[in-house]
Amino acid sequence: VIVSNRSDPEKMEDRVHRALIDRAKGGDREAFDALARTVGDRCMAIAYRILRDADLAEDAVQAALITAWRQLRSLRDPDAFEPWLHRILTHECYAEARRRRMLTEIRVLPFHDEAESTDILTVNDRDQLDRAFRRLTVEQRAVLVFHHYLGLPLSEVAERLGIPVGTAKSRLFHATAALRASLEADARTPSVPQERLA
Amino acid sequence: MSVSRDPDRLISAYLEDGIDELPDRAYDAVRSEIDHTRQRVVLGPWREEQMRRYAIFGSRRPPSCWSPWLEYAFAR
Repeated sequence: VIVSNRSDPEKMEDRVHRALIDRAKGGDREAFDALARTVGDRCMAIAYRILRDADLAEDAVQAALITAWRQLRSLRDPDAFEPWLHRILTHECYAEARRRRMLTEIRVLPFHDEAESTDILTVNDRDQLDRAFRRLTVEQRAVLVFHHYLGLPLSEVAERLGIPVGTAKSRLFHATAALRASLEADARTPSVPQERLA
Repeated sequence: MSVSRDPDRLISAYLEDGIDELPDRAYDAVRSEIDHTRQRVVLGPWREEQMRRYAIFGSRRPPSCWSPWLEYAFAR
């Protein structure tokens, strides 16, 4: 006997989700609209973390949802909807980043309020990580976000991004090394006494 | 190094912060776009089956009765 750990409301939610996918596959626009509203926020969270720009992220999510609508009939397994959508979304993020030449653009770093910081992250840490993150390629960022933010194992990250596991591992290694180096370099920087600055 | 300075934790905390909500205008834009967009028609599995049959046909050796004609055709 297989005992499921999932609660009844969760199962119900899954059934509703699956029914929406089936109806949307049949061309029901209302169902797709409802489906988009269940996955949109998560898509925005992922896209924002990859692109670090709210407008670009919004454009990428919109494009991904429209592509998903157009290609929905090619999705064979409705249970694989979310990974399938995430793959489309990641490609839209790549396209958006390239379209706007974001990787070569010099941007003004956003100002972060002290109150906005989490307990373990100082404003300085955040600025260091921001700078280092913006120097990463968009492909490296995607692996970082899927692994660290969504908490997916590397094999699943590779599957969602449509890349070999070795490539995902290598991208994660280089991205993490770059971010760690930025934090360590900051920690090694000697603090300048205030009197000297005066 | 203290637990709170663990780089992996700092990276995770950095990625945790950010926008988590897609604005309503984006849903409205998607809705208005799909109202004018048709879904792509997917050809069924019969297509793969047919292609496989052609592949088998193409990979078979030609019947021996064809050989005089083939010799003639390729000798030219």
